[in-house]
Amino acid sequence: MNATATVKDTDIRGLVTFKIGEEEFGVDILSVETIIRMMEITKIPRAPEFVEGVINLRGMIIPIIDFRKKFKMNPRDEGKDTRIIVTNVGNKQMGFIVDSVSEVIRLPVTAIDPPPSIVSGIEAEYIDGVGKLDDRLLILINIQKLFDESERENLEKLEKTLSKQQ
Amino acid sequence: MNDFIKSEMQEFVNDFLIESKELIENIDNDIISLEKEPDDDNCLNNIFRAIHTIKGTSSFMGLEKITNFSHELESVLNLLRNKQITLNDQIMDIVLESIDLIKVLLQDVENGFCSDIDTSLCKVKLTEIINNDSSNYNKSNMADSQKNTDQAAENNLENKKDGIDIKSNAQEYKKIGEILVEEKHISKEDVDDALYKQALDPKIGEILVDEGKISENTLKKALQKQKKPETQPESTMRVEVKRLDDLMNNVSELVLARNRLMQISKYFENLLENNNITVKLSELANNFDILTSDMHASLMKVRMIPINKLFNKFPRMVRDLAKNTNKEIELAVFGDDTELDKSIVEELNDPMLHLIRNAVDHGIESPQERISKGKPAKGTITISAYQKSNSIIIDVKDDGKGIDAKKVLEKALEKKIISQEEAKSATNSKIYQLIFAPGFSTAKKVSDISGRGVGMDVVKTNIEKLRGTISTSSELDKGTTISLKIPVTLEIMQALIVESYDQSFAVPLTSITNVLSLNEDDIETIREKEVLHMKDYVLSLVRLENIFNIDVSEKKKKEFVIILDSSESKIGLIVTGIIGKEEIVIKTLDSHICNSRYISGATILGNGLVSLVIDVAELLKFVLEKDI
Repeated sequence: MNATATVKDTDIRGLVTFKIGEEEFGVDILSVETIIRMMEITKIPRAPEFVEGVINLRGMIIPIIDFRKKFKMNPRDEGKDTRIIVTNVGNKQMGFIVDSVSEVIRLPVTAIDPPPSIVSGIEAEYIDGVGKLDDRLLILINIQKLFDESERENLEKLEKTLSKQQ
Repeated sequence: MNDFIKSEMQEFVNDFLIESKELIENIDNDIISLEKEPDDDNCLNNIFRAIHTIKGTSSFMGLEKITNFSHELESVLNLLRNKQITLNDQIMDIVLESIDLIKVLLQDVENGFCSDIDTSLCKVKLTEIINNDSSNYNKSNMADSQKNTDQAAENNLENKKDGIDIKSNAQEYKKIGEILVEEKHISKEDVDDALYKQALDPKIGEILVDEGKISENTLKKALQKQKKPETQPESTMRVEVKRLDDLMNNVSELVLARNRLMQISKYFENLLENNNITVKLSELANNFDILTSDMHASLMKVRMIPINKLFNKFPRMVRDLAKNTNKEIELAVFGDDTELDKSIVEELNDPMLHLIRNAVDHGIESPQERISKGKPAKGTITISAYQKSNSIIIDVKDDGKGIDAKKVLEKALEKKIISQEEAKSATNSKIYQLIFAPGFSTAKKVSDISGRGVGMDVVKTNIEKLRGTISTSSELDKGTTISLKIPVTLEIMQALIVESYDQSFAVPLTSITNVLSLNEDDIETIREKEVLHMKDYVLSLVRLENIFNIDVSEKKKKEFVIILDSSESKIGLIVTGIIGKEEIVIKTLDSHICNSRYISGATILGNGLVSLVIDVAELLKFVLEKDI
């Protein structure tokens, strides 16, 4: 957007980075509420496949999505590093199961490239950009998009049931 | 105007709107009772005071239209009060019309715009009443009396506002000695004597007891009497509902935290028996338990409002409907102090409206018809509310023509709501259920009151949404009773926690009639459906694991049947385990993660795990659909 301008403080993005297999991803730190260890998840009948279920996080019931299943990656059993990243966008919460959480970093926007058409099987629409960090590549996930999507699916479902009723 | 003043002003306006609406609601009822007993000055005074308050506050707000209009109305009421005119039907109608106009004007203020509603016509009518009368009344005199009444009303209001009326004020400070003298326990001299001694000791009663003048019991009774008046003045305050909801959320979490604490304390008790710290911990946990339960109970009470908030609208409504349909109807209301959760009272509004409209329109006959049937010309609609264990029952009863089961059946066949086959075997109670089907109406012509076949459908959906049930009983030419059964609160309820192949579910206790332990050979199969033979009927069974597609890796030997009951039917739900009864807090799930209509939400159990709550009404519907 403004790549030629000098890098200001506001032009730095805080990111929480996590790993799926060997690949590294990042989400905006402002959308992350907390990171927790795996806990018992209550399954929900007839929910979409990638919805693992719901958990109780300090009295809130939060839906949990399996990151691998959502992006059609090979499933993997949970290990000792498996974490749930609980995100909060527009007062709605959602948790994502990831293989491990790495660190919190600050990345200047100048080090972020626009997304290529497809990365690691994830459609470009879910990707904010690709960050370069020394010799590592960081795929920035657009959390907002995931929230929007579930909303949209919701509406479609509603429309379908409505048209059926008519 | 700067923003600060604007928002301040908005706050005043909001308060004014809330207050005025409440006043108007009460006026409606006062007017109806005034119509019955035109000599009831108390009613008239109440109406007058209310209108006067609205006039006063609106003029302070600069809402001229309301001020001017209520001024005219007040003048008419004043004439009534001073017995310069007598109340007749015509005046009553004009007064009611005026009050409706004020309602509209208030609505305008709330919506923030000025509609072109014409108050002049009504105003002219009011002025006419005033002028007709004042032929023998001179004008200055009138202005004078107006001033006086204004003053009187204001004084009255002042007292009201403080929440104390003068009489009880005097009573409040009655001295213990006086009470004892009045009740002839002792003479005045004894009291004076004791009073003298009281200079040394402040408690006169005790002195009297010591001297053997009165017994201790008498003193206690007298002391109680002394205390009583103090509790009389009611002190209330308005609280935003959102704040209560926030508080409720916190308390719900506190309940869950309590449950965890109890578990941890139990764990330590087992681990370190007789340890000093463990004993202290479990003491604390028990204390915490009691406190939390108390707090929860009192918060639930705070959220409860008497159902008369809702019932208050009906006298006026029935009066108007009766007039429109040329019927004579008396409305009797019982148990309007029954308390329900605020949100439930709100949800009951539409269903109750439809039920009453229906009773007026379809239930009560015209006076001629009633007389020819040998009934009194005036029909009666009775609304009664009462609590029965954990539910509130609301009965709407009329003494009208009753439901004609044959006609209902014909209509249902015509509208293809049921099939010929079903019609043959339909029982009366099944037929009555048909009137709640969408698109059903037996009214010969569509009136603006009812007959479009929407109303009763609304009743059913709304009541089911509240996890309530409807039952109907009727007798031809005797009348109909429709009875609603609704849980007292929505957020918190008793549930049975059951298990199906290691997944736990909560089933609301209100819809469970029985739980049976099952042996494999108890189940019989009829047309590939599993059923259970009960004493006098056959119960169709469904398996929880089939409904929710739960993995059944290894068939469990032990099974239980939970008998679920709704207004329409019974089914048996097969589960593999019963965990226990628990008080649960329902939380709704976003529909994108849970689109199963058989789940009404989720709850957090004492062990910290999430459990899904089964929507029994939907589940029954599904099973019945499948049967057809």
